[in-house]
Amino acid sequence: MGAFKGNLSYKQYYVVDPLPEDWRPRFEEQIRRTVFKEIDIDGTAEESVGWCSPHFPLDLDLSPAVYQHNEYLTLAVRFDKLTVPGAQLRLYVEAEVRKYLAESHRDRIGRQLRDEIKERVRQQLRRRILPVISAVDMVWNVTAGVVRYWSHANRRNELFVELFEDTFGLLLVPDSPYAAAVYGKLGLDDTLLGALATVEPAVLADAGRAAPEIRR
Amino acid sequence: MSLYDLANRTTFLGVEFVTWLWFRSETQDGLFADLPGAGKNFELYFDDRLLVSALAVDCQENLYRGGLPATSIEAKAALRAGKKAVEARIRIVRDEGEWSFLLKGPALAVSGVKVPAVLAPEDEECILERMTLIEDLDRMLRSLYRRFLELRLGASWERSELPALRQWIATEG
Repeated sequence: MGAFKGNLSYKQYYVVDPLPEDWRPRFEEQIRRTVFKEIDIDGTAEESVGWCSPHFPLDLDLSPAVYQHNEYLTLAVRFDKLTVPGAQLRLYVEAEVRKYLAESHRDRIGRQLRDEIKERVRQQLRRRILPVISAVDMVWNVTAGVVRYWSHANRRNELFVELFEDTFGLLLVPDSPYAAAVYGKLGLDDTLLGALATVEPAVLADAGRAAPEIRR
Repeated sequence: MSLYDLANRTTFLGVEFVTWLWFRSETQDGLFADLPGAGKNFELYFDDRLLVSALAVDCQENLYRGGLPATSIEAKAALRAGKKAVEARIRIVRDEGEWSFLLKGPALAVSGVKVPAVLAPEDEECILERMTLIEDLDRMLRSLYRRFLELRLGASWERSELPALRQWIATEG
């Protein structure tokens, strides 16, 4: 999604902490540490999140030549999701339960045993499905301290912020009318910035003509 | 008050900004000149999508699509009823270049951005050209927001800008 081609819809953030002096080698090492890691199909995790190349999500060989473009650091966040669909899981669990009942000559099964069968079936089915892979681009202008992330989805943004802050150790502040005034390098003086904390909404229309629910 | 609280408390500024842009665009024929940090002068117009609403709970939103809703009698009537422009599709023209985007006031966010044509075919040049065009747009928007805040948070808001804005809203048509 986005930085190199296609739709230009992004959420903007400010990096409010200063860049460390040795940021190039330090970031190279930290990006390698948090590069995307495949989901272990023998484990229980259903999601994995990490960095990948912005050019191709399966490319995990991240050198500065891949992600550094002048003052821009471009990476993509890869999200893999490996979830056994609920409807299929129920069917296969039911098949196993029927098999067990037939073999053990019983007509009922306890909750604990059913749960054990369910987990065993889930693990078996995990080996037969492929994860859903998606990647979302990020472009960070390290000189300006502005990060653009090519998604507005809340969950995606939460995971992105978590990954960014874990990787680089720098705080991200999402853009907003307040953040733009304070961190957007607008050049507002201290008096105006001070007034931001107490400003109240303005009444723009003649109050007498406003609809009753708005006047309240 | 935490940064989170301050950001939440001041989302109305983004809505007032969009409404102020509408007012200024209409009353100065779209021309925005000599804004610090903007680079060159540019023209800004409201395009084919406009959402107006009010902060009140359960207040109806009015979404206008197609044509030029900012020039419609209905949209102005909504302002007179006390509503404000929450989001709008906006077009900015500078020299030969044209940017189009949806500006969402409460988050001060843009989406669906169209930038002037990118010529570079290669990955590296392409990303640099696209980012330059996005940052050009960002600079123009920041310069407008700065101008708005200087007025909104300064003494001239109550003295001249707010009365002029109210007068524009009160004017039929």
